[in-house]
Order: sequence, then structure tokens, then C-alpha cells
Amino acid sequence: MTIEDEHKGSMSQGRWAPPVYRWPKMSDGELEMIRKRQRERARITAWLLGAFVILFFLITIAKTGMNW
Amino acid sequence: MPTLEMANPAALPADWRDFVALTKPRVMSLVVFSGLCGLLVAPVQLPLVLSFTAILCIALGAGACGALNQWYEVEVDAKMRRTAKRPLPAGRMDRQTALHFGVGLGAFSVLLMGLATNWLAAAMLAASILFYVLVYTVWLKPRTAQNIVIGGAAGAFPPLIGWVAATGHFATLPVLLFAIIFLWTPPHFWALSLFVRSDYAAAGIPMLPVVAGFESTRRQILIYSLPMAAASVAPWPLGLTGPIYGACAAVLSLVFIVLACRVATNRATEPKDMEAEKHLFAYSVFYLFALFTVLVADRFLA
Repeated sequence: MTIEDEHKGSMSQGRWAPPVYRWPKMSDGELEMIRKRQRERARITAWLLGAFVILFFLITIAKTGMNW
Repeated sequence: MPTLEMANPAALPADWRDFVALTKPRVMSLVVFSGLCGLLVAPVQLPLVLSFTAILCIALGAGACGALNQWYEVEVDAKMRRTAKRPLPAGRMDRQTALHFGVGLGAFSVLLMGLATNWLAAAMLAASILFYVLVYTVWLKPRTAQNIVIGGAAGAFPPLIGWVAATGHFATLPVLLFAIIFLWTPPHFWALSLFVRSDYAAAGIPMLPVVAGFESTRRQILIYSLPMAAASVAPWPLGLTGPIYGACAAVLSLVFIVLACRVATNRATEPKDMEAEKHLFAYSVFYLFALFTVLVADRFLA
């Protein structure tokens, strides 16, 4: 059975077997690269979110001061 | 950055640098600059944080345009040397990620603009993004040699958006700034497309040099340079700027026309012999930066 067949699910002894997901085989280097990029993106997302929270706070103060 | 050979690089989570590349940062710099000038020459001064937010929104909107443009044109980009190394054609990012990123960035920029400044500016930002993506990228660019002429309107919006973000309404000066960029776009892009013509021809994009030939393109560059120069100088006789701007605009525009004349008289067909076109392209970028800088300087000196 190929990985693609397993993803679709299959009939076994008259009962439907749920699909089985298997990660494609990856080397340690590839896994390390994925983890590194995920860490980088998580760090940047956190900084951006923090910056936008501060920005929204400042916008609120500025608009309140302008009495719009 | 460590590199790793993979059978399918798009299976990796995209690198954050590829997201930055997706926004076309070099194009964004000109958009941000013209938007900032529109904001600065407006008679109403916004609080610093709201001015910063307005410019940030214009930048994010431009980034969304770049991402959606690259999402749609991935096959065309793969055929051109100039664009083949972008994240999508190079296989460093999958298309769906680029689409989600572009739509998310565009929606966020419009929403933030509306909340921080006013909804007219937000509506214009939304209109410029939709115009660039739907009218220019999807409709005009693959179909007509006039793609740059009409599509140039998308790049002309930023000073208008900057002004409206500050004042909440239209006026003659920002409309003239819109006209300057609108009329500047064809000579700027046609000068580039003359010396990268083979790239556009290989990708099947009907740019003017591909469809109408070198001579016609060079003539049209000169023809468009004239109303562009008139629009550049116009704010002075209309009493919207001072003589400093008027004099600088006249000199800058005169040099532009001289370079356009050199292009119009050039008969070269090989990129290596197109020094005149390369000079005009480089000068056109400087021209817009200088013109808008002088406009802001004139406003503050007056």
C-alpha cells in the first residue's frame, strides 16, 4: 500500500479504516532546517504582534487626544 | 544562512526573508516615499503616530500588491531571468502561502488605515490594491501593450492616499501628484522594457517594445515625457507651490526631456548599445525622488 492509498483510508475486514498520515521521510538536516525556520517565524511573529499592540495603544491615545 | 538540498524545497516552511522578497521592497520604497510626500504637503498635520500608521498602511498595501502579483504571475516570472529567482518560481514557497499572505496583508492594511485615519483613505487604499491586482496584473498586463499606461494609475495612488489620510478630502495638488506619477510610469517602464525586451518576449507579455517595436516605443517615451513635464511644473503657476519647486521641477523635467530625446534618436536594438535607455531609466527614478523631495522642502520653506 502506498502512502497516497493510506491517506485515502481503506476497507479492512468489512470495516473502513481511517486514513493514516505519515510524514515523508526526512533527514536530520531537513528536520533541523524546518525547526529553525519555525523558530525564526515564531520569533518574528511575536515581535510583530507586540509592536502592533503598542501601535494600537498609541493610535487610541492619539485619536482620543484629537477628540475624533 | 545554511542551505540544504531538498527534493521539494516548497515543503519547507518558507523563510521569513522570502516573505520580505514577496512584498517587492524596492518598489515599496518609492511607493512609501510618494505617500509620505502626499502626507507631508497636506495642510493638516496628523499626530506623529497616525502619520506613521498611514505610511505603514501604504507600505503594507504595496506589499500585498507585490505578493498577489507574484502569486498570479509565477509561471511568467519563471520564464524571465530578472524574476526567476523570486521565492515562488524558485520553489522556495508554495503558491497558497503567497496568496494567503497577500490577501491577509491587504485586508489588514485597509482595516488599520480606516481605524487610524479615515475610511475615505482606507477605501482608496483598497481601490488601489484591487486596481493593481485585478485591473493591471490579471486583466491588462497579459492582454494589451497599454498595460503600463492604464496600470500606472495603481502606482499613482500613494500621494493621494497620504493627502486624504491627513485631510479627509481631495484637493488639486494631490490630484496633480497623481497625474505626475501616472504620466511618469510609461516612460519609466518602457525605458526598462527596451533593454529587457527579450525577457518580456520570452514570457509572452505584450509590452510595447515587443508588440510595436523599438522605434514606436522610443517615440512614445518622448510623447509621454512632455505632458509629464507639464504636470510636474503645473503646481507652481497654479499657485499651489512656491518658486523653489517651480524652478527645480522645470530643470529636472528639462533634463528628463533631453534624455527622452536621446532615447528617441537611438537606433540600437541590442541591450549593450542602449546606454541612453539605461540612463533614462536610472534618471527617472532619481527624477521622482528629487521632484517630491523639492515639493516637501518648498512646503516647509514657504
